[in-house]
Amino acid sequence: MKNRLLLPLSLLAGVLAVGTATFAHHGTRAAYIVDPTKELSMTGTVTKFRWGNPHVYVMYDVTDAKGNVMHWGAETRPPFVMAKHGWSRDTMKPGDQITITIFPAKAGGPYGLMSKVFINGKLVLDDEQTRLQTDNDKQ
Amino acid sequence: MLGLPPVSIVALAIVFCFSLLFLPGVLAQTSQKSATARQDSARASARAFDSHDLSGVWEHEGIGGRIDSGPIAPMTPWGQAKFDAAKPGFGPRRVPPTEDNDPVLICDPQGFPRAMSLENPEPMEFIQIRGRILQFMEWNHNWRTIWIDGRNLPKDLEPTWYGYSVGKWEGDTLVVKTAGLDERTWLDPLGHPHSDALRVEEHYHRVNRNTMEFTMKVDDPKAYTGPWMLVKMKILKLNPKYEIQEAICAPSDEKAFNKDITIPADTPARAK
Repeated sequence: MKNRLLLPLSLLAGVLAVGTATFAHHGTRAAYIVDPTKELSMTGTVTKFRWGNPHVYVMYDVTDAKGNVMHWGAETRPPFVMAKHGWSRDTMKPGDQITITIFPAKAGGPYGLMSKVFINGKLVLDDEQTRLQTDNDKQ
Repeated sequence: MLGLPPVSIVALAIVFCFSLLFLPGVLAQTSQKSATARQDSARASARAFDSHDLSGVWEHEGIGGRIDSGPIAPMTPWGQAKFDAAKPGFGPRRVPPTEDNDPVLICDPQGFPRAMSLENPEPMEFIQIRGRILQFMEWNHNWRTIWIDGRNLPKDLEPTWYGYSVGKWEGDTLVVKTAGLDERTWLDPLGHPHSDALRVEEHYHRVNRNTMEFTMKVDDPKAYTGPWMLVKMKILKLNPKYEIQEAICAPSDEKAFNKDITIPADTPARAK
């Protein structure tokens, strides 16, 4: 089951029906600007991928045109949720090239909440619509 | 008059009379068949749905994890002081992750009633056996027992994270009463407190095979001036195909996540 990626149909539908969101434990959405007009897209190299509760996350480096390297971090949902959608602890590894779209941190630092992720050119997460529809932080 | 010969009319009359003779039998057979069909259908329903058996995997209708409390009763001075001291990581009183003190954010037990308040979007599995119901919560791999063997709540319970619960059927509603609760837990992620005097009453009503109504009332005279509904009304749906997963809040995972993501993501970026 390692590296089992999402079915193309669910990708075409544009919705990873993640269905659950452990928002309450960490107020995740409250720390990010969940707005489709504020998303950031970038390509970088994975330096760390952590498969654990409460949320799966990735650290990655992005190099700009001048050669400056910026260290970024992005989180997504808990492992048991991601596992239902084909992710595993081997989904990413250091050195993988990712193209990632994030909802950026409100505090302005290089952090984000995953919206879409391509690994080595393959789409493995499209969580944009589900995130936009889950309006938990207003409770 | 119909142009039929007299012999034909006589023959028709004879056939008609004979059919009248047999009609009660035919009707009885039809009636018997439909009665049998009804019994079969009733048996099928009974097999498919027992209103006094809550066994199964239950998940939230729609998007789970929404707080659905009724109006919160005014707090006593004791309750207000506890509430003011609570620093949630969520909601309108949210503080940065370095300042919060929600017990679950260091993986302390969520405890009862918070684990059943449905702030968790994860499903639960109920297993009903003779004299008791076991409830397994996917989030944090928790479980609790509801005794349904007729016993009453013991007196002078030593407080525990999940308390002591007894249930009795009132018609098709299981009424569960819980006491003996550790006041270190919060009622919700907003920081509403409770004391060890808290009493909780849950109602479970399986309205059909796939649907259960759930409410939860809290009554804590030390913290609030009256009872209130921690869960006003929630619909749970049976999902026979789902298998409960492992979702444990491990302190080492939590620590790594906070260090790498939560704290820096919530820290204002330095001006360039």
